[in-house]
Amino acid sequence: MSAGPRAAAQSGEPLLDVRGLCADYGAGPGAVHAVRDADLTLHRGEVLGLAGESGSGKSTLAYAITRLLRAPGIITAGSVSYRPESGQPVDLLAADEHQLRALRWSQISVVLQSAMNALNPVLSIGSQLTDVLRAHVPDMSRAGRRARAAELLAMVGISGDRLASYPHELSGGMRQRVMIAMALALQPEIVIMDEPTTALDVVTQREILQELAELRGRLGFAVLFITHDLSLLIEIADSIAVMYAGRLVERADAAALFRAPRHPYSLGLLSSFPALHGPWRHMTGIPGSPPDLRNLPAGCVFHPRCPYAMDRCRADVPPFLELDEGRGRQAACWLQDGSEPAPAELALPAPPAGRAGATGPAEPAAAPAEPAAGPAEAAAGPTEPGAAHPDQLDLPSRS
Amino acid sequence: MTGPGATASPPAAGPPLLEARGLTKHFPVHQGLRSARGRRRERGAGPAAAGRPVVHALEDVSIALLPARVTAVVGESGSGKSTLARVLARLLPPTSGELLLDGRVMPASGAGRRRYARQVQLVLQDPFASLNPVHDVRYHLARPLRIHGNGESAASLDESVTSLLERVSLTPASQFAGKYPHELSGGQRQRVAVARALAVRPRVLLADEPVSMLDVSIRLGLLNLLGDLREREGIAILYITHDIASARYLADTIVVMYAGQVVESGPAQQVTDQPAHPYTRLLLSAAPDPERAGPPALQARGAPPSLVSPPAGCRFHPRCPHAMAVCAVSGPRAFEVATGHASACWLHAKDLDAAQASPIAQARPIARPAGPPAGQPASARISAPGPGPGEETR
Repeated sequence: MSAGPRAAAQSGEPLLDVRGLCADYGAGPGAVHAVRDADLTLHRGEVLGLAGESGSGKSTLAYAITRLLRAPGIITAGSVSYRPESGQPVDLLAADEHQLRALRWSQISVVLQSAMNALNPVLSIGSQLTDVLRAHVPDMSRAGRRARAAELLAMVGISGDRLASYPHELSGGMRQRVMIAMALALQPEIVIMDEPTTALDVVTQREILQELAELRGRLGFAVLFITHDLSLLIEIADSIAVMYAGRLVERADAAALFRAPRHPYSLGLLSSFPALHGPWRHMTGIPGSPPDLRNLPAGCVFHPRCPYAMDRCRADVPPFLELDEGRGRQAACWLQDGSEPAPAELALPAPPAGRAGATGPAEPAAAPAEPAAGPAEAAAGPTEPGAAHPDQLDLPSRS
Repeated sequence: MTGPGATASPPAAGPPLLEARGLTKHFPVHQGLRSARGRRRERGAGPAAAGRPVVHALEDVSIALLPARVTAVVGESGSGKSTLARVLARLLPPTSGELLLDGRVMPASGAGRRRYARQVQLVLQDPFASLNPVHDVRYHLARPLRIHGNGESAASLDESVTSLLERVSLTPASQFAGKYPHELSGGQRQRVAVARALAVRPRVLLADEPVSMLDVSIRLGLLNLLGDLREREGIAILYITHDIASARYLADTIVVMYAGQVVESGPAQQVTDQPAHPYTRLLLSAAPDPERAGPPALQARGAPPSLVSPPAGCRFHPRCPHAMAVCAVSGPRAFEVATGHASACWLHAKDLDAAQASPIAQARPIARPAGPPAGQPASARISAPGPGPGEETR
């Protein structure tokens, strides 16, 4: 979101370590495995994006991490260790109610997708904001709580006299801002955002994201940002994990994922977003549709839709391989196990660490043949800006 | 002055199939008893206050759908784009303005409406809601044929259902015909909805956000299907969306709507690459773009206005970084900025006097940390309006 925390994120120590997390809905043979063997590390001050389609398990993963998963959802395996700046690491999955209560909101807070449903319609914004403070800061005075609530609203660009308003009196964007203010009330280290801007118009979404970037620069919290919109994530996240049908399939720096995806699903997702610039190209998306979690294919879950599927993919589940190029790059694909060279479009050179857009387009020579439209997107790159986007067009000057 | 409607006229592919001229749609506001009493009192006060408040959902919108062309309507929620689709489908009667099919006004009689529906079909946003869960796919596809067809036999109905499913790439058709909506994925359901619209062999397809409920990986499949229908069958398609990148991908012409009015229209690539209206630039500056180098510079702030009492003059002027005195007084007409590319903005007018062109201060809608544009004097903003969308991509 901003250059400072991004640089720090590379060196930041792990704040949240998820290992082998499995979450099911239901038990026994009919259980739906919503999350399988998820390994994820959130570093201090980092924005980690979690991308996936509906039903890929990204929200379930977030709920499992925060122990908010409700029945019939159950966590069946794994560990989630939270390492606060001072003090011992805490295993969130082993923590009791008392420990969780102390951690939630003060250390880890959540912003949910639908603010209309997350806010209580019969309580004013003010009483919902002060509720958090009353529970966690018992020695704060009533006036102090009101003042802090007004300060929180001002922080997200809402004037303090809105404290007496009810959720229905606010626009969608303002409600989402209230949710963000509430999540930041106790200055947590981690904010988990589950599709925080999906229901909003594109302009409002952008305003909120800019405010969020500014707040993050100031307060230095880490964000786990969950969305289906990979093109947005590439802009705002430091690193990105891609989920498909309950499994993590790739993890990389945002720029590396955009310029040089290593998993066919990431490649397909990237080529599912039409570009805002450049010459028109036919794009294909991904054939087929996401699998039914009750009836997953054997082997790699993506193989029925994968243009590169091999015999091995139909039989064996690929492990989440650590790729030898470093920087925490991982991919769960047999093409990347090193036994033979991966297809050219899945072996593009990774850009140097930095912003996705700042690295410039990949070498046009690396543009692969069809059907891999994904890296072609990278290869096509931005068009000559001067030619395609004259900045002021022909509007006459009126000063 | 012809009003704000900017009619798109790309290089003609024949006369328009469906044309709307000066469409206006107002919805009456239903109020509680208390305000009704207040209104009566106002009515006594004078004729100006007598009108019942209305939502100005569409204001003088003109649009032409050409055969074998996709026209995209882009705008935020509340811009009137879905109302436009419903008026064009004649689900809602317009308050004023006319609808011409093949250059003729269709009668409002039942037979006239039926003849109209045979030519113009609507695909709705949510395939989970637009299909009936208790009926199978065959029923959904055969029903329009029963209503609009010529009493076909059961065998020929089956044949038609099969060919419809094949047209939308749901194969093998025999397998899909017997399925119920809950057995289909979102993308398959939306294909059934498209097939149902195609059943009567319409010449115009109105698609209201057809892909926004679908998973990202299957959206392109449906967009490409619409593109194929345009090319193979010469259907005129209205594609309504809030995603300007997908409009650029699919459409030949983009029409940008704001607060019930058309603010810009033109060839798709030209509108996105060289936006002429400040609102189009705002939309482009806010759209996700992985190619963008730095954080985007939003071209304006705030939210769309209330449509019950829209701002006087140009409806965008309270948010516009280039607003001038004239913008607050009178609505701009459409200026042609290039061939087939029109923008309803006073910035394109060449004959404004100094008083009209003097910048007006912007009222910031909400208190917030001042962004860079807010800090500049208004005059500086007009003469150097900041980077266009092209600049940000560097």
